[in-house]
Amino acid sequence: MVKRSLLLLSLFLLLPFVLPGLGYSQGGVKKAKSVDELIKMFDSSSCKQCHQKEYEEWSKSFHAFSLVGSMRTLGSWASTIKLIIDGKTYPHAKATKVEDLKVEHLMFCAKCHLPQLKYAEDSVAVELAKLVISAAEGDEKALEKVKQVNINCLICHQEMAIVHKWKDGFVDRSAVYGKKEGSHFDPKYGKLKKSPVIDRAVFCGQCHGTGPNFEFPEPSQCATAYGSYLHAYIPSGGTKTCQDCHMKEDNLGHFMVAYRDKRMVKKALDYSVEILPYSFLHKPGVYHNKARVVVKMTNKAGHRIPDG
Amino acid sequence: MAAGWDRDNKMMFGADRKTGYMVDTSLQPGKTHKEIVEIPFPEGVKKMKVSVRLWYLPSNPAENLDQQKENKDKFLFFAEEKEVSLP
Repeated sequence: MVKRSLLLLSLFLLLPFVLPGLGYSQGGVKKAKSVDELIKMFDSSSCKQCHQKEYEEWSKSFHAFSLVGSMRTLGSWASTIKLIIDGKTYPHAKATKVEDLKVEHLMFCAKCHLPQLKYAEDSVAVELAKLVISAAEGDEKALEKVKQVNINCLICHQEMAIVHKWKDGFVDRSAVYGKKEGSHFDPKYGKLKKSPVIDRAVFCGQCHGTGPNFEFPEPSQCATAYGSYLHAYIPSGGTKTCQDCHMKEDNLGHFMVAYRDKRMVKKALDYSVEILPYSFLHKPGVYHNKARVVVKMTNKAGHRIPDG
Repeated sequence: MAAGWDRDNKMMFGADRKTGYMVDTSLQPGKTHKEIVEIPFPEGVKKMKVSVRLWYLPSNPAENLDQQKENKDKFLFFAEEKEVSLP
């Protein structure tokens, strides 16, 4: 009996070392071996059945094609990948061809554009990099595939739903997170759990961030909106959250639009133009006639403009 | 626009591996920014139509504004046209 208990204990202690070898990441999520497998692991298409309005709003948002954006994002991804493997820009990256790429090479972008990439094996980084480069060069089929790996329902309502993991615990993979607790009508995600942060600015701040991502071997700074929110908007007396302006007001919902929408522009900026025509005595008897145009812009948004 | 890369003096945009700012000319929350432009009247002209447009350019430089596609490369935030005449 004692022998069996010791054996079980030994196996239990060995589990953290055994699981990664079996393709499991530290979060207990099995690692994807292909882009298709990653898409399947984070497939949220079933959400549409009950949450049609939210799903349709989301499908028009940049979150729904987070590696592509306005095509500018896709171009940045492709150019960054090419720089990583050019052997000159990052001589210590240990990657000189696409096949050398590992997940860690892409995570300083994927942290926000595709956080689920951390649950993929390095072969997925290679496959994804090839798809991104092909898509940026005009391959429609590759583009369609790239669009399928995105920030979807499961990323916000599960993966990113807990910020303070020591206090609130780690994410429950059988639950979706929202503003209340209860049961959830879904065969795979049967529980509804409360995320303490999902309606707070800090939730969005996980990606629309504070500055350079120093946790990576090659840090970068892309979106800095939450930094501006914390250090400029709040000190100036701001009281709103990201969700107030980008979701609740104007019933924007999961579209979460910004500069592409006139309603957001109107809310974000006060703008006035005054024009004063006048004559300036350049030298005796000679006047220069001018119009003095004064443009005033007041930023009413919760962050600098532009930012993201 | 906030731009910079703190290792050298090359100006970079956010996604281009930036880790610091050199300049930040963005509009700050709660602050009013004022731009003054003086437009000379052409010789002999007493009346002028002044058109002011505020464009948002997500990433493209302003130099080739006319060639950029509206609602794709450039977004019109505000437009105003006023006629002014010298007394």
